Amino acid sequence: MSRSERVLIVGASVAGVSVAEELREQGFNGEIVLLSDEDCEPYDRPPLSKQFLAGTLPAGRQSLALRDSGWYEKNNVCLRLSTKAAKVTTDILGVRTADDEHFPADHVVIATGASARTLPGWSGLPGVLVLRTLRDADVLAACLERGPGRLVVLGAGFIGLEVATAAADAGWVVQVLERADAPLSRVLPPALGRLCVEGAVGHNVQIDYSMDVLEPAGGDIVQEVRLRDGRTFPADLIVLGVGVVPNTGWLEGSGLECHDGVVCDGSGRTTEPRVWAVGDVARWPNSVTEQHIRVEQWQTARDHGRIVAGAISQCTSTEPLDLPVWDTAPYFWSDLFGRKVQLSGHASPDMNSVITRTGKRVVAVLGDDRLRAVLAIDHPRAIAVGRRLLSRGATFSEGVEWAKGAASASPKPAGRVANAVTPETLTTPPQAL
Amino acid sequence: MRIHLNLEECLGYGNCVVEAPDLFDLDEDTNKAIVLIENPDDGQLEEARAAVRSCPAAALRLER
Repeated sequence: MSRSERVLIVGASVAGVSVAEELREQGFNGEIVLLSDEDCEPYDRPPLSKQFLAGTLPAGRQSLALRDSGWYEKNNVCLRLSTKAAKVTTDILGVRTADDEHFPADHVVIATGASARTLPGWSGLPGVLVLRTLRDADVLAACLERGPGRLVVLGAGFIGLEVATAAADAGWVVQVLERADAPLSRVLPPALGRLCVEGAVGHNVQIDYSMDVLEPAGGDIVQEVRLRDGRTFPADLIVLGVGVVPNTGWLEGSGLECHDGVVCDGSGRTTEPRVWAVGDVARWPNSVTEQHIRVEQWQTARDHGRIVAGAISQCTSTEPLDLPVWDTAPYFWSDLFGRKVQLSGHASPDMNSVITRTGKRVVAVLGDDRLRAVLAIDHPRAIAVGRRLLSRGATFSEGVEWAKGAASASPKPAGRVANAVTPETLTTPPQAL
Repeated sequence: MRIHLNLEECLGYGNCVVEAPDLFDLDEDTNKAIVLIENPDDGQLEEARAAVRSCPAAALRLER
């Protein structure tokens, strides 16, 4: 491995930092440069909509740091903050910044993530917020602290519902307005989505569906949300939770294939040699889910980082290439109304699903002929087993058989006594799209 | 190798249980991780490393 090799990582959220960390872990001793367009040290995003808003992080803001401040120097990772990448250059491989500085590199890793989707006519108005960055979270937390008042959340997706949970716990009156006829409808069949938000009532969160939202209304500051049918909902604060878009605008004209994200192979290679992409911005094929899509999940960013670091390390060695590929089932988690929701695999709203529940624990399987995803509420052990079933390509009926026992199975291998409740199984047919 | 869990940092995500169900569990009362096997054998090291990597709260370490 040559000492002069330089890896340039653009974007310093969990995907970018993971590439740097795994390169060092795997023995890469070349130069690592990490560019961030933010002015603060790299931080972790999942807590922003959960413990950060709830004020329950053990060390406050410090708990958000992805690595402590000394880590970058200790691992010889050159972290450049407030540096916005403007263009990938391929004549001399590297990146040109918005300030016209050029960073040449032997490998470029694109980790520029995604931005909160905005709605025309809403964004930028006082009292209308999104949540994606630490800065967004600071603004939202400050607004919530000035309350309590009335919060309207547009969109019953994971981020919107997490914000609703935190605000309601802080005493706000929360109204969620969703365009679709069920929550989490981009990911889950309606019955499963509804199951995930069962706790909303107990948390004083009102969720309404099939809401055709038209515009914000009020004077200098937003005072209400108006629907197309004329109904209005009073609001002191509005949060848009309507998804994200990948940050690929700066790659236009670079020659990289981009289509809802940077198109990559199973090792994270883009269509340009020695240019890689990881995390929310990247579209990788996954051999378990058989999907080639962007996966906006923390663990996926970690997986991508490990795989690209392994691949780059191999490229710099003289050994024949046998690049690692993404062959584990992705998973993610959410905190919804005091319950831990976890999902592994690839779920979509049109899949068959079977729900099994025992007491507060829920296990659900989703699929077509094959088992495609496993969802668990307050039962992480079920996700562990479910991932193994997914990895070995289990059929949907095998998944159903397993799920019938899984919800009531003891949460501990040592054999803690679970509440003796007969599992109740519900089968739901696929919904027409 | 020994698994070290910092309970102050643990936020109860349960990712360690997902990655290494033989080595970890989640205490339902405290919502904190429990180390079931402190000294994983060679065959369990890969799982243990995956669990350390998967902890969003960076509460896990593998020590010699």
